[in-house]
Amino acid sequence: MPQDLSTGFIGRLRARDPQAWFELWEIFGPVLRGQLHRWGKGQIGAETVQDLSQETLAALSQAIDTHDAARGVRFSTWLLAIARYTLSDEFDRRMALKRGAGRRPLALEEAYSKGDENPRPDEQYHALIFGAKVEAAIRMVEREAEFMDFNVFRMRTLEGRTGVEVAESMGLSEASVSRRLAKVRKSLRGKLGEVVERFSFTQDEIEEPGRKGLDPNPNKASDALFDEAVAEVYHRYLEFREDASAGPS
Amino acid sequence: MIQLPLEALGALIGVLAAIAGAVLAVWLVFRLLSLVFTGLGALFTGFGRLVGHVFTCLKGIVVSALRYAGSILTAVVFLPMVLFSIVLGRWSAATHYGRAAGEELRDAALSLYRAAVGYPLRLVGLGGLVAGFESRIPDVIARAPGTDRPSGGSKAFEGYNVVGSLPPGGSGAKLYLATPTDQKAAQLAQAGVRCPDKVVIKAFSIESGSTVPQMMREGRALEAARDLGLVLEHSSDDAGSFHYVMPFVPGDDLGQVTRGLHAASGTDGLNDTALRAAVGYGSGLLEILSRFHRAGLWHKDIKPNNIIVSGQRVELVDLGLVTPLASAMTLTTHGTEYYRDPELVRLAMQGVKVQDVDGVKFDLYSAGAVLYNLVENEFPAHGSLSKITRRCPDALRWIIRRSMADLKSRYASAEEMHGDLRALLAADKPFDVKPAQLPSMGGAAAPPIESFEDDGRPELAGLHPVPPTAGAPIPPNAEPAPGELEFETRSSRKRRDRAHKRRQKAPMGFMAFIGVTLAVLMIPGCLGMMFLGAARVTHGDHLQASVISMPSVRFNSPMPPAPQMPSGGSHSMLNDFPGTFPTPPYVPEQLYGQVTSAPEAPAMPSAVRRAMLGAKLERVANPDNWAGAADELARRAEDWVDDLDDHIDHHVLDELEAWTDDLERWADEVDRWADEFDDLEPGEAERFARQVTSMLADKAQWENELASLDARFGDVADACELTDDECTVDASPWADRPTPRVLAIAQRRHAIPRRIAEQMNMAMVDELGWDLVSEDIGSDDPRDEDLVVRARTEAGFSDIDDSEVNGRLGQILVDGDFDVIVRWTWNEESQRVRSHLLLSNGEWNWTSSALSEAQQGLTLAR
Repeated sequence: MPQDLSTGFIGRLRARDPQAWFELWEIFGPVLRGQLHRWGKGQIGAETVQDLSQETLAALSQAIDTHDAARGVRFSTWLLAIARYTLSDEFDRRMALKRGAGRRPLALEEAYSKGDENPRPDEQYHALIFGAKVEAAIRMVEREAEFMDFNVFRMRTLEGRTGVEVAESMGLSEASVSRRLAKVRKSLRGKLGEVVERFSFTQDEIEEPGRKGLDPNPNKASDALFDEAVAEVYHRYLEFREDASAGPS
Repeated sequence: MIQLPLEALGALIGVLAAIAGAVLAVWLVFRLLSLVFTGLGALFTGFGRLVGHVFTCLKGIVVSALRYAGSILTAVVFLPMVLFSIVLGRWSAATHYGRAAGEELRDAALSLYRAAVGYPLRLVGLGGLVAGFESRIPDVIARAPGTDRPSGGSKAFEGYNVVGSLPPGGSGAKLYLATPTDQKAAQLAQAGVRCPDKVVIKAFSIESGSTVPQMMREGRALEAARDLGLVLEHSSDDAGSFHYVMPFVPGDDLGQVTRGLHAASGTDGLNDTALRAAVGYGSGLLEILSRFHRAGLWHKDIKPNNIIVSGQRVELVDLGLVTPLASAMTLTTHGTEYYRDPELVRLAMQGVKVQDVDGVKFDLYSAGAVLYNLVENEFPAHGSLSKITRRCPDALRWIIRRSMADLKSRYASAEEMHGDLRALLAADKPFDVKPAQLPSMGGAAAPPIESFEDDGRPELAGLHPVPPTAGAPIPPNAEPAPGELEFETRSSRKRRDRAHKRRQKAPMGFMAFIGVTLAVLMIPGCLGMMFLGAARVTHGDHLQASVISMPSVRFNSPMPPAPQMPSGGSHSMLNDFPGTFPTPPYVPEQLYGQVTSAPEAPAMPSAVRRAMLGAKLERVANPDNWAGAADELARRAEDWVDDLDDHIDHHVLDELEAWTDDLERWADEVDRWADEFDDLEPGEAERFARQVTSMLADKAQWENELASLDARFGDVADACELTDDECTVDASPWADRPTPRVLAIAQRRHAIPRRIAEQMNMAMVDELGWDLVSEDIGSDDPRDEDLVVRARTEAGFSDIDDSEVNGRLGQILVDGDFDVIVRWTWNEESQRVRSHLLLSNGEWNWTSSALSEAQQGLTLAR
C-alpha cells in the first residue's frame, strides 16, 4: 500500500518532524546532489551543488503541504522538479549578475510551483533513488544485526568472497557462515520492505523491488538471486556516490 | 553376436574421423575468428579511445582558445565603462566594472593556460608533467607558513616573539608561530613545564570574528589539556581576546604522509613497508587516544589533518573541540564530515547531553576512519559501509570495520582497539593474521610496546613513537598473496583510476598563475584594467566579518581565589526562617534566553541574522541591492522588536510586579519578625534585610534591562550603515553587559538548585562581594579557596572545573540566543553568500541547511 499521507512519511515531513527531515536528507541527499552535479556539470562546483541541494530541501519544506500524491507522481520525481528549478534559478541569477542588471531572480516560491512542467527524470535517477533505499535498508540491518553476522554478510554478499574464505577468516564453520548469512538476509528483506513502504508513494514504486530481483516473498532458490541483486544495486549506487562525492570540506 | 564386416567397420571409423575432423576444423575456424574479432575489438577500442582522447584535447584547446578570446573582448568592453565611470565620479560603478574586468582577465588567463599548456601536453600524453604544477605545488604553497603578524606586532603575546603564521583551521582562530623569550622559558621551567624552542599560539578575538561561545568551547578543556602537557598556558583579557600556547611540532600531517606512502607504493595499495608504517601510525594514534580518555577527555576532531607525523612520532593536534567526557553540556555536531560518526549527529539532534553518551566510541570511529584513509588514500565516503578495495590484511579490515561499526558493536575502549593493532604490528606476516586471531576476538595479546617517554617531558599525551620495528620485518616489495586482491574488480580499479585522474586535474589557482604570466606577455595593455579591477575587490572568503561587526565583550576566565565567608553566615538563619522565600519570576523559556543574553554581544547579530534570514538577504548579494535588503532587514527587525515588546509587557513585567509585591511583603515580615524576637543574634535581622534589599536591587536591575530592550532593539535600523557593497551593523550598544552578571543568572537558572543558588548568591554576593562564578571576587585570602570548594560542593559543582562552568554558560548562551544559528560565507564561484542555518523553533521550519550544517559541524545543534 502506498503511504498514508496523514500519518506516513509525508505526514511527518508536514509536521516538521526533524527526524523525518533528517532521514530524507541522509537517504536522498546524495542522489539530489548527484543529479544537480550531473545537470550543472562544468558550470557549478561542489560547493554550489551543496548550496543548491540545501535550497531544494528548503523549498520542499515550504511546498510540502501542497504535495498531492493522488496525481500519481512519484515523490522523488516531484523533488527532482524542485531541484531543477532551483538550479534554473541559480543560472538565471548568475546571468542577471553577469549582465550587471542586478535583476532579482525568480522567487523560489514561484519557481517550484511550476515544477510539474519539468523534463521527466531518467532511468538513472530512478535507479539511484532505488539504490538509496537499498542502502538505507542495509544500514538499518547493520545497526541491528550482530557485528559478526553483518560482517559475514558484508564479506559474502557485498565483497563477493566465497563461503570457505569467510569461514576461514572469521574462524567459523561453513555451516555457521551460511546460518549467519541467512539471518542477515532475512533481516534485510524485512528492512527493505519497511524502507520501500516508507519512501514509496505510488504502486509502481512499491512493486519496484520485485522487478529488480529483490523478491519480497523468498524461496530457497531466490536467495542467491537476492544476494546478487543486492550487491549489484548497492555497488552501482556506491559507484555513483563516489563519482558525485565532493569530499570533506 | 553380430559380426560387422571389416569394410563396414573401416567405413564407420572413416565417417567418425571425418566428423571429428570437421568439428575440429569448425572449432579452429571459430577460435580463429574469435581471436581475430577480439583483436579487432581491442584495436577498435584502442583506436576509439585514442580518437576520443585526441578529440577531447582538441575540443578543449578550441573551447579554451575561444573562451580566451571572448574573455579578452569582454574585458576590453569593460575598459571604457570603467574610465567613463571614473570621469563621472561614479566610484562604485567604476569599482564594479573594474572587478568584472578583472574576473574576465582571470578567466582569460586560465583559458590561455589550458589552451597553450594544459591540453597540448595532455594531447601528447604528457599530462603527468603538469600534474605537479597544477596540484602539488599549489597545495604546498597554500599550506606554507605565512608572515602575518598579529595586530599588536611580533610582541603581541607577552613572553613570545611571533615569527610567522600557520594557515587557519576551521575555527576561524589565528595560528601564530612564536619563540618563547628567555624569561618566559625560565618562568615555564620554574613551573615544571619544559619549554620547547618554538610554540604555536592559537588566538581568538571578537574583533577578528570569533564568537563568545566559540571561545568558551575552545577554552573549556584547557586546564585538562595543560595537565596532559598539550597546552603550555592560556590567557584571556577584557577586550574579548583569548589565546593559548601549544608546543610546535614540526612535521607533515598524516594526510600528506598517507599520500606519500601511496605514491611510493603504487595504485594497488600500500606495500608491506608502507602498510607497517600505516599500522604504526594507527597504533600511535590509539595510544594517544587512550591517554586522552583516561584523562576524561574526548578529542572529537580526529582526522588526518589533525595528526602530525614528526620523525618517528605522531601527535594529535587541534584542541578546538576537546570536551570533557563527563560534561553536562548538550552534545553538539562539531567535527569533520566523514571522520565523525553519523550517529553523533543523530544524538546531537535529539538534544542528548555529552555525559549521556560514550564519547570514547566516537573517537574510536574517527580513528577507524583515519585507518581507512591510510589504507585507501580516500576518506570513507559511505561511513561504515565504505568499501576497502586496496591491499589490506583481513585483520586490519576487521579492525577498521569494528571501529566504525554500530555503537553497540564498536570497540569498547582505545586500549582494546590498540591491542588488536599491536597484535597486527607484531605479526611476521600481517596478511596471514585472521580476524579470529586478534586479541579482541580471543586471540593472544601482543607484547607491550616499550615506553618512549625518554625525552624528559611530562606525560605528553600528544607525543607517541611510531614503532616501526615492532615485529619481524617483512621483505620489502613483497607481492600480495594470491586472493588478497580478489575483490578488486576491474570496475573498481577503473573507478579508482578515474578518481586518481580527477585528483590530477588542474586547480584553478595555479593554472591562473601560469596563465597570468602568459597573459602578461601577450596583452600588457590589459594590465591597467586589471589594476583598476583589483583596486577594490572587497568580497573575501568570509563575509561574516564584513557584514556584522561584533562588539567587544568580556570573556570570563577561570575563577580566581575567593575570600573567606564569615562564620555564622546566613545559611542557618534562612533555614530557620518560617516565611516563604519568594521565587524569581517565571520567564518563558525562549524569551528568558533572549532577555538573559540580549545585552550580550551575540544578541544583536542574532536579531539581525533573524531579520536578514527573513529578508533573504543572501539572495541579493549584488551590491546594488544592499540598500533594498537593508530596508527589508530594518522592517523585519522592527517587527521582531514589536513581538519582543509584547512578550515583555504581557509576561515578564507582569511577573516582575508580582515578584516585587512578594518581596515587599516578605521584607515587612522580616521586620516584624525581628521586632518580635528580641533574642535574635545581633545583625541577623539586618542581614535578612540586606538580602531583601539585594533582591529588590536585582529586580530593579531586571526592570532596567527589560525597559531598555525596546530602545536597544529599536535602534536596529539606525545601526545599519550602508556602503556601496556591504551592510555593516554596529552592535557596540550591546557591548556593555558584564559577563559575571550573566553567569550569575545562568547559575541560578540552570546550573544549581534554585534555593541553594539564591542562598549562595545572596550571601556571597551581598555580604562578601563576590559571586560563585565571578572573576571579581576581590580577595587574596588563601582560605577563600576552601570556601569555594565548600560552596561548590553544596551547589553540585564539586566534580567540575572552572572551564566547565564557562562551558555551561556558553551552552546557555547558545540555548538562549542561538536558536537560529546562521553562518555566512562567501561563495566565490557563485558570487553569493552561503547561508548555513540551523532552525529549531516553532516559527522556522527545519531545513536541509540545518542538516548540512549539522553534518559539517559548523555550528551547534540543539
